[in-house]
Amino acid sequence: MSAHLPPDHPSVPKQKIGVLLLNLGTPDGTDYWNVRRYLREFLSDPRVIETNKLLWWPILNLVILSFRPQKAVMPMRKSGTARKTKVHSASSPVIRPKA
Amino acid sequence: MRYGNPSTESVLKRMQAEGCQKILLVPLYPQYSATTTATANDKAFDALKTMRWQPAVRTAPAYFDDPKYIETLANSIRDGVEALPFEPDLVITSYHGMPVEYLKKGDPYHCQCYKTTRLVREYLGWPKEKLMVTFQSRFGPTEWLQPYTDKTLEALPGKGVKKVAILAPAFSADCIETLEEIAMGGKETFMHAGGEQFAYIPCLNASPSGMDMIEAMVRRELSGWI
Repeated sequence: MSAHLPPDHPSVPKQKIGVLLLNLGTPDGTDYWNVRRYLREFLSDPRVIETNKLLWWPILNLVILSFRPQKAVMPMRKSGTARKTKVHSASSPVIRPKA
Repeated sequence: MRYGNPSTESVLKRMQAEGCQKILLVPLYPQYSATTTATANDKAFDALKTMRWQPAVRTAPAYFDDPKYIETLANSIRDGVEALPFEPDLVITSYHGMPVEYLKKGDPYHCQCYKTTRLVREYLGWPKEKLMVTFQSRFGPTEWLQPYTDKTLEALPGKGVKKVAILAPAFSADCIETLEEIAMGGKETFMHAGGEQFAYIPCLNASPSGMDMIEAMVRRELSGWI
């Protein structure tokens, strides 16, 4: 095909078909900031939390993100998740039932 | 990954740069929910919005009633139970929960969870009382899908059900929620309430049968492209 292209044409990769497996994700590490960053992204998703944004923002930023990351760190270390599993994938460390 | 790394956008862009002009998106959630399947696809579409030369894209449907998924899940339950040193009185399929309000707004997740469990039970030929559905991870003050996993585990020993096995079929891979909340926390709750034996049956993960199931689904969804 490249024989038909002008000399200054960018190189054209061979056409391929791709398969992209999508899953939930997991924090990059078990420390407070990594867990916080992950939780923030997860709990800022309007598909997950349908509560009115003006109501939810202070709850998330002032309450949940202040306390939940610490609470999630220990279970993550205990269970050895966060990038340790072979298919490191789904993880939702916050949503633990209240006893 | 919908959240965290590698992000959907970074991988989509890399695939495009490597010449993928046709891409199949496969959300690894067997049961459809707006909170999982839809948001995973949304994230991919957000990335497409920024591309001058978009690849053609297909999305794979939820596979909650796919015969191959049912067979694979059912076999993992049967094998898991057979490998136990005890015979469970009850096997619990515990799905991730959601507010009841989402169901009322039309999210089909609840129905798909029940259908998965029913089909698995039929495949195994088990009586109705041997395999039950619960919903885990309730969070916040609102009502979530019931029966709740934790309340069920707490109540079962009092009803004479002292040996259980539990699994989390809504997850394709084990994670903190399945390992810590269910396998560890669930066990604690159950034993504390007077339970005698508790076992967690792992997700399909990267098991050969789990991978075969995904491969079969991917091949089917690629038809016409390959």
